[in-house]
Amino acid sequence: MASPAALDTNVMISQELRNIIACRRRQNATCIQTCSDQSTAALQIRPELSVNAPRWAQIKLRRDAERPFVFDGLNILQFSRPMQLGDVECLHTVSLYLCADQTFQIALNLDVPHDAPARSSYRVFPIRNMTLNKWIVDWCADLCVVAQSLRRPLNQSTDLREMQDVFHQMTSYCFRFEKF
Amino acid sequence: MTTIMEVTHNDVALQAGVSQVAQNAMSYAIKRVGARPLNFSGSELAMAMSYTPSIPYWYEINLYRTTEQSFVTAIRRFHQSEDKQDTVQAWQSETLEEAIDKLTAHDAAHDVPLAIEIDTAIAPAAEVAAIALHLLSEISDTRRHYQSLVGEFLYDLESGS
Repeated sequence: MASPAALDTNVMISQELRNIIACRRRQNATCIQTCSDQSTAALQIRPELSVNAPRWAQIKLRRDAERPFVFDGLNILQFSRPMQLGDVECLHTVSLYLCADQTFQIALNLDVPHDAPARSSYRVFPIRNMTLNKWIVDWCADLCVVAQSLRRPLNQSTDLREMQDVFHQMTSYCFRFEKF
Repeated sequence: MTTIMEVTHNDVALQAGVSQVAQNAMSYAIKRVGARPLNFSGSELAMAMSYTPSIPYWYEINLYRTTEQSFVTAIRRFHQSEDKQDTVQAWQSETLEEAIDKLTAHDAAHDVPLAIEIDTAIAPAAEVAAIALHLLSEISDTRRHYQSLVGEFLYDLESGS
């Protein structure tokens, strides 16, 4: 089988499919409006109408193997730094979001250059006290798989040290954010 | 929250889409591994491909709509080497939702061939263990590769419409 050219389109979505999905969104919006009309007066106060509430934006986060995570929220912290994996320089991004329901989500992205022998990785985790360790471990496991694909000898201690450094920075910002 | 609609006939845009499918319908015969070919008439709705020259294999995923208003999902794995067998899997679904679920539910580990022949009766344990580790590594790599493509595809689907 002949290989495609390297610059071939990666994803093609027909306008027909976009129309189908747009129709579905309109139907969902109508449904939400109907439900809202039937709810109590107290529940009809939307966050964006409150004077002191943040102005939420609709955020879509790409994640591997799943539909994007869509929610109303705010990006409150973001760190990006290059991460050297073998000969390949990737971009490691950690983003923290405050959601309209007062929960936190963390998005972890590893952007790998298109011509590298590995694909980029995108994860989204809810932040809860009990899951804090789990998402760090899961993300480190993802990074190790990418590193392996890039034929880099595994050096988990260095990876973990770098991750910890990012997380410590983020945690200190979180504390400062909390004081306000 | 469900974000993908089932096809209904009471929507003007969709009715336009239906007639468009009928007009642009092509005949497809998708050869499947371990099953009869999937034959249908319809049009391709979307495609995503993970080809990179530095990776020895790549995935192509396709969504089709048939003239009977059902949906077809196809997952193809191609190899750069001509010695290796390309694989195709395809399913027909009643709704677009179900068709997309086929993409997210697919476990790419099943696509990894056991390329090394080994006689487990006489092979030393260390050799079997080494092969097992190699296979686990390939499975992990393939799963992540496929999941990354599906994530990119579904993100593009949700964005820009």
